Amino acid sequence: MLGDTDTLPSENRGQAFTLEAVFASMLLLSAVLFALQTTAITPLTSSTSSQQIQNQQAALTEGFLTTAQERGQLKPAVLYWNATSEQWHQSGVDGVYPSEPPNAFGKQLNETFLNWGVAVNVDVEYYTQPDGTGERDTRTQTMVDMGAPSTNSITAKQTLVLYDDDVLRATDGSRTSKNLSAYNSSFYAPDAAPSSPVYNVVTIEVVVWRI
Amino acid sequence: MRQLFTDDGDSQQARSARGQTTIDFGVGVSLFLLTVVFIFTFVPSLFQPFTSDQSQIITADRTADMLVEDMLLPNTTTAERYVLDRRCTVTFFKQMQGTTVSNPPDDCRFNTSITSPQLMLGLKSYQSVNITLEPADGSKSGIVKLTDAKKPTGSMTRMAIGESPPQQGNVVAAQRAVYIRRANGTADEYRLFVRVW
Repeated sequence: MLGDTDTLPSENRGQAFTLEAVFASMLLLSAVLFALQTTAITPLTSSTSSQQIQNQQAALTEGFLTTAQERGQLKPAVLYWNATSEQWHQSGVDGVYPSEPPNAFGKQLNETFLNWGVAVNVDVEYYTQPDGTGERDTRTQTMVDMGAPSTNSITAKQTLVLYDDDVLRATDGSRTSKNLSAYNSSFYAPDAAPSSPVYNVVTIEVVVWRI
Repeated sequence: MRQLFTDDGDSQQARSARGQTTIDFGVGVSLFLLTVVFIFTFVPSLFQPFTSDQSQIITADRTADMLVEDMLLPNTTTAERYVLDRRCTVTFFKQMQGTTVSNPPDDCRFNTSITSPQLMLGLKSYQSVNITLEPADGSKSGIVKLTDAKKPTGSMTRMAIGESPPQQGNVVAAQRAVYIRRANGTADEYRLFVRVW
């Protein structure tokens, strides 16, 4: 009799178990999240392993640029320009390749980076003509644009000299017949030294990051 | 009267007021247990980069640098890093595998009498290393076989040094993009992998 009254509260209390469990879970998860924010350790924070990945990517990109230079693929890639439409050959509406260019340099880019799950941006930096005070500025022409790099991206550069007697390349990679010096305004880079055999000095900048 | 009331009415009320079945209890407890198990497996993995051996990363990186920037280059003043000398590279791999090399080239940048990778690369005896040359194309895999530059049709050497890395445990890998010329003037790109554990 009195025992019946005593069993009532405990039987009523059984209703609270599910809600208690949900609240306890939420409390645990929020405690973990708070602790993560305080100590700034998350799976996405730069740690030693992502630094190691960046070092490897940097060494690989330098090796790639050295190889492209040895193979003689860099200069044809820089000169793979369509002078009539004033953009890279077969480069789409905005004049930028969304993936690798259709030349030997692009094939090498594909094998070295894209097939390994690494995205690439390639820019060509060139000098403008000297202004009144003889100063030159630098401008950038984008060749390959695969989006904004992540925070763990690295950059490698290679400098190249273009001469007045270099020629542009056609769509199939063969040499055309007109010298660079004849193209002053339909090529992206102007003749930065009109009185010397050097046409311009360009820097190829490759930004590499893991997808 | 009161007891009767509590006997019948309240116990019935108690049964109907309870409103929670076993399923509700099951859902609540399993949700809670899932959360606890998740936290116990997730939080230790956050500390994984800081528990692995930090010196292995440096070892792998420096070994790879030493190989592609000094040891396997031709012994000329115009040698460029990442452009390896074919004869010296094949001799190096053969030497490290333990096969005796007949007429080793005498102008390579490494000591042609050392056969232990640890001694040659300056590693401790307890450090295991695996060096392989693999295709540069990411869509291909496997270990490359190269012929010596002097005998393009001779026997091929499997370009791998050391035992295979274990499937479990921490293995640190360093990779470099290298370029090796052939005798007929063409050249190929490869990836050099150095794995340390």
